[in-house]
Amino acid sequence: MSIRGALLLIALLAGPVQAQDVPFDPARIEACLANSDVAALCVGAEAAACMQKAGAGSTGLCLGTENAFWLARIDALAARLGAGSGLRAERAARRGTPSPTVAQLAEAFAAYRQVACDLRVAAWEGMMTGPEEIDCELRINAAHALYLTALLAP
Amino acid sequence: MKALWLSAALSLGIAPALAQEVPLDETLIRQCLRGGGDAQCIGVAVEPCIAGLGGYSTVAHQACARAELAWWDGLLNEAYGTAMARARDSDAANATEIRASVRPSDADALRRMQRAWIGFRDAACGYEALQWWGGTGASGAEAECLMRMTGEQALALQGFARER
Repeated sequence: MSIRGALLLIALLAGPVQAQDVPFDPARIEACLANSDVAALCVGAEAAACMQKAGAGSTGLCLGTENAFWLARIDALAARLGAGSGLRAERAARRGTPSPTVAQLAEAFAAYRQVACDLRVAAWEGMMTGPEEIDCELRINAAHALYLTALLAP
Repeated sequence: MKALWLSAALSLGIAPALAQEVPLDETLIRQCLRGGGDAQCIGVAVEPCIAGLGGYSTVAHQACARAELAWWDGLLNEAYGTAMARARDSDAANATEIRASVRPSDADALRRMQRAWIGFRDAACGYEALQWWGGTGASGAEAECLMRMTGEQALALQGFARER
């Protein structure tokens, strides 16, 4: 199932919790990232807090909201990496060996994420498939966002 | 026990003239993993290894990162074998559903995932190598990336095998 399909399914299953009511605060993830030595500990914590506050029916929306946070972060970081493509092309020419572009890196990442989450949900059936896939995508997207952040570190 | 990674260093392209015995203390990694360190154990043996080679140099950094990469690569191969055995067991237990296309094959999904991961690893580490090329962080960047990604994948495969 595609991420869009899963989000649709989740929205349909969400019950009384609506998107605008999701108690999700991206500032808490930012604060965690700024203050934690282990950035990976900041992944999924806000979605978990959101589910606890919003209660039954909120799983998909909370996971989906945090997933959207990390996806937006990947897009912003990829744009920053792309801005340095001229310098990279110059380096590649001097080095004499080709190197993947930002687009090729993004493509390889997306292909990996798709099949990694296909594998994770293979054992699940029915209603659990959607949340399981979103949780998988959230964690892989977050790990990639943290990786891209490190690539841009001075 | 200190493993001597001369053959690994040679096979991974360390210059022969500089491929002295690389003193990678793999017990540091094993102890860390036993203590529940998981991904934080990746790279734990690199700094002591560099010290064992007389201190930091580009060659020492690359040699130690590649030696630890070889250790994680061994774990990854072992973990993939275990994961594939579990996937095949699962497929055998669900053969009817798989034949009816009600359920995907775990073994096929695992194979596809590993193939895509190799493509992602090569793209990410190829990208990273040039990102730091020419700068102070350049030495060993690609080897560090390969080591980190291989370690993470080995641990992910172990997790898959435990859950199935």
